Amino acid sequence: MHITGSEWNRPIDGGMILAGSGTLSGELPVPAAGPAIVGFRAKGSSCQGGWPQVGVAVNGEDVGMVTVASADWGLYGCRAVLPAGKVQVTLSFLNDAGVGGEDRNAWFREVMLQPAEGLPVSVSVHSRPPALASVTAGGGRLLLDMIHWDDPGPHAGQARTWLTGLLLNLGAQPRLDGCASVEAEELEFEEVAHNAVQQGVLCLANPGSVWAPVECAAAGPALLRVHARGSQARDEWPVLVVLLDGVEAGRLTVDSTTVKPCLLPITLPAGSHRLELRFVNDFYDPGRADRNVWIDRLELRPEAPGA
Amino acid sequence: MATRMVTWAIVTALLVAGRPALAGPGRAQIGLNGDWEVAPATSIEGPPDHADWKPFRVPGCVTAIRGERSWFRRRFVVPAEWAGQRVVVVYDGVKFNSRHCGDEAYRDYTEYAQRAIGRAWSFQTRAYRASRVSGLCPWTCAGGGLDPATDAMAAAQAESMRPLAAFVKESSTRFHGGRQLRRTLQIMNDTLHGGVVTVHWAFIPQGAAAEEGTLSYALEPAEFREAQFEFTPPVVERVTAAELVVRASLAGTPDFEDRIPCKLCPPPRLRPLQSRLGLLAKPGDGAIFVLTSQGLAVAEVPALDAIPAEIGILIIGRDALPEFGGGGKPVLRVGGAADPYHGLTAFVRRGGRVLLLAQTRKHVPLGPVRFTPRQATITFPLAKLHPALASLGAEDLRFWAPDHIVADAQLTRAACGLRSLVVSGAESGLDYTALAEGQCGSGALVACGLRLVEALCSEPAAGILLDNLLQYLDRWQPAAGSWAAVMPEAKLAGMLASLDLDVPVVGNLADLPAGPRRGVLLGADADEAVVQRALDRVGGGGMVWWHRPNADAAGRWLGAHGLAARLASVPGPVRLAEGDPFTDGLARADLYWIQEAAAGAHGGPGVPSTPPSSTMLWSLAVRRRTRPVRSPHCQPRPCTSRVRSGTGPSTEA
Repeated sequence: MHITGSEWNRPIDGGMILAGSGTLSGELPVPAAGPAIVGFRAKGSSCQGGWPQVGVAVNGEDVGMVTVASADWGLYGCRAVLPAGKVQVTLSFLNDAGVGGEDRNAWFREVMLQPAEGLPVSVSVHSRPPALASVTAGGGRLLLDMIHWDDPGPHAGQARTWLTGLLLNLGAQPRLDGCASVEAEELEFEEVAHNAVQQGVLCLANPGSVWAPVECAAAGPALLRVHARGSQARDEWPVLVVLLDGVEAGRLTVDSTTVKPCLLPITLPAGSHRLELRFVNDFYDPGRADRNVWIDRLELRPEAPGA
Repeated sequence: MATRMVTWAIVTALLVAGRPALAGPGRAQIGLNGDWEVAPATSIEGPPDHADWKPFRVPGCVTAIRGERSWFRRRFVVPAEWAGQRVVVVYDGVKFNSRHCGDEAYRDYTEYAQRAIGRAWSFQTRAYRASRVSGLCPWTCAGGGLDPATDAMAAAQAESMRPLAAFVKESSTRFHGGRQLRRTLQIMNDTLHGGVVTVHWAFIPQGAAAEEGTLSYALEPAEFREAQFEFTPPVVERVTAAELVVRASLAGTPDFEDRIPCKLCPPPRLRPLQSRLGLLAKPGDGAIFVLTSQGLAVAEVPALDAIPAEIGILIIGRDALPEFGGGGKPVLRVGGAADPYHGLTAFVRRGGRVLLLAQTRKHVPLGPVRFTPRQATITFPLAKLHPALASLGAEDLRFWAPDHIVADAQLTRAACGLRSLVVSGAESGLDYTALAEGQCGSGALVACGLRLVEALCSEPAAGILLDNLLQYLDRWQPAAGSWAAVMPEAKLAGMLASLDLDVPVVGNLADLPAGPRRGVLLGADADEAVVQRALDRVGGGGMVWWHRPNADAAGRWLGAHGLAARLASVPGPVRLAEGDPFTDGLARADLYWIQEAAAGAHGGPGVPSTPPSSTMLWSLAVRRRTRPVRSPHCQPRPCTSRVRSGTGPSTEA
């Protein structure tokens, strides 16, 4: 096999280890053109909870990516449609990493091709691997969606954008109702070192408060939406305490590295009020961890029409 | 007598090479590759006094994360005979830590990390050179390697750092025929040879005679000069490919040549519309003149609550919408005042179609549709199959004449509630869109921050896009029905509630509001019977979206429909399939979840390691009876071919 990369070796127990990003490629004969599984036997070591990712290409064309999520030998593979004759199969170790005594490496033992039947015509695959696929059923269509966009960790903003995009693509409609809002650059905030508005976003790098006046025509429920993002430190996200006229109305955890709306239902009495957000759990360990929050805008809308 | 001198520079990553030299013919040179020192930069005003200087080899790489900067230093001996003469220092290459990328760059990690950045570097390098940063040439760094043949960043660096160069300053490449054009040349003699630089330019339309000319300038080493040339391309009746060729030569140095693909376009033309066209515009807005000069009949609409019934398409001009709350001091007002956009939303819901141009005032929140005053010189097509983008490619959405600005305002994708047709990059990804649409009731809203009106006469792509959009809205037909979610689990319900979409959530199918359903979103708790009932409910043409289905239930449903398939656990990241109309308008970037590498890691700036999926329709590949699949991986049945690693290029059947 042909190997690229700066760190590789042939262990005594056979196979090949890629200790740095690199590729492994070789030619395989395909007796007849058609759909097939490109499989390989591999094992991995993890770093920071992440396992090796292996890109699979046939004749230079990317056919998929597989995570080798085990320290034991196992079989992995991707679907591909192969031409007859010799094909070049390339496995790429994509995410080398090493930190704190952990080293993410990938071991490979064999590469194999196996014929597979083609997908039924009623099935359409929309992702690689097929974690998003649709099946025609009667006159309608069933979308099978195995993507974890509802469990995104720090990527809530991206996951939300994905969900919005797919729903809109499929014909969902937006809500078009006017609501009150205050942009970050219009918010008043405590003058604390490093807390400042940058490029239209208010960064709270230190504990501090921001506030805006509220005018409520009639008492009733309302929904506060704080468009914000945060940085996690010591497994804890920034927390904003919401105060209405100095009284705590709830707390918001800003658990996304990209901007997303954080929601808090509140009850507004009629009249003038002061709405305040207080960043209460700042953390800073120079060079190691920094828990901050960035606020893009505040929105307040009545919960029920006409409220 | 020898003179000692120290060079200082501040860079962000890779120092490739440097050499001081005397300016003039036959000049002596000193190579500065080799041993340098590096120290973290606490200030860019000057190198630190007591920093922890460490040895550093040039050429070499320094990894810098999030704005970390370093000072580099080296001592060298200047020959005594150089005293009193002009000395120039030559550095190769440039990197700066920013990137611009469209969704294409998210095809794979290498492309994301290198190609997009490389393109950005190329622009930045030219800008540095043109502004004569750091004397002769800018400083440099790279991230992927030093070989232009294999590394996109190195290639970008090599292209933009050609010592003798005559770059065309303007990046717009689409021209109206018959209109005089002026191009600016940035001529750089960053070689060690002085002399006459001859620049020959030619504009060559396909099937027509070329326009061409020659310029000559005497340039010393390290001398820079801007020059202009003008020409009038021929009138054409259809879009015609053309090429702008620039060659520069200087005795003793390799020639420079750039070949810039261009398009020669006919004058802008807006096709007639069946629908009555209305315009709501600020006083003095030139949109009315632009539209009527194209032969369109336009009715001026005085206010949102006075939209005449006969209007089918309403264009809302730049900054024509009133501010929510009447402007003034920002206050979160709840209730009390009438919704100033009621007239507009009512118009759309009853079937009106709206083209909403950039609204840059602060308090114009038409629901989630809120522009931010973020300009763009580059945006990228996302919904490539959308009629609005017909006959437009990615290159057409960049660098619009006359000033390269493509969009004056954009919407935040995560919170605009509209389907993005184009996307623009930001520090954290493809966060913005300058063109988005949504169906509201029986009508449609297209929000557009692109300079369609302002650039109509100068930028051919603006005219094509405006014409496409008006035709699209003219022929637009609403789709029946809407979406709802049934039985979503708590996380899913929470996310749906945070969206700016009209997707009601109910506990079971019987609670769905009456009326046609375009789709139903089901949570993981749904079983095959619920799925089937949901499919019956949405009827022909409808869709049921089953999120994270139970593998057994999904297997039973698939089996009942003659598909011997099941779900299997294969954890890993997911990418959108290429060339799939279903995913047109979805961004690969949204599924490209980057984990920042910890400080000290040798994995580069980030790795795409967040697994968006743990299950997939793997076993759709096989029929259950003939090709058993063992979860979680492909089964160990006899293989047609295999190759063993570590045993050479042998294969066995």
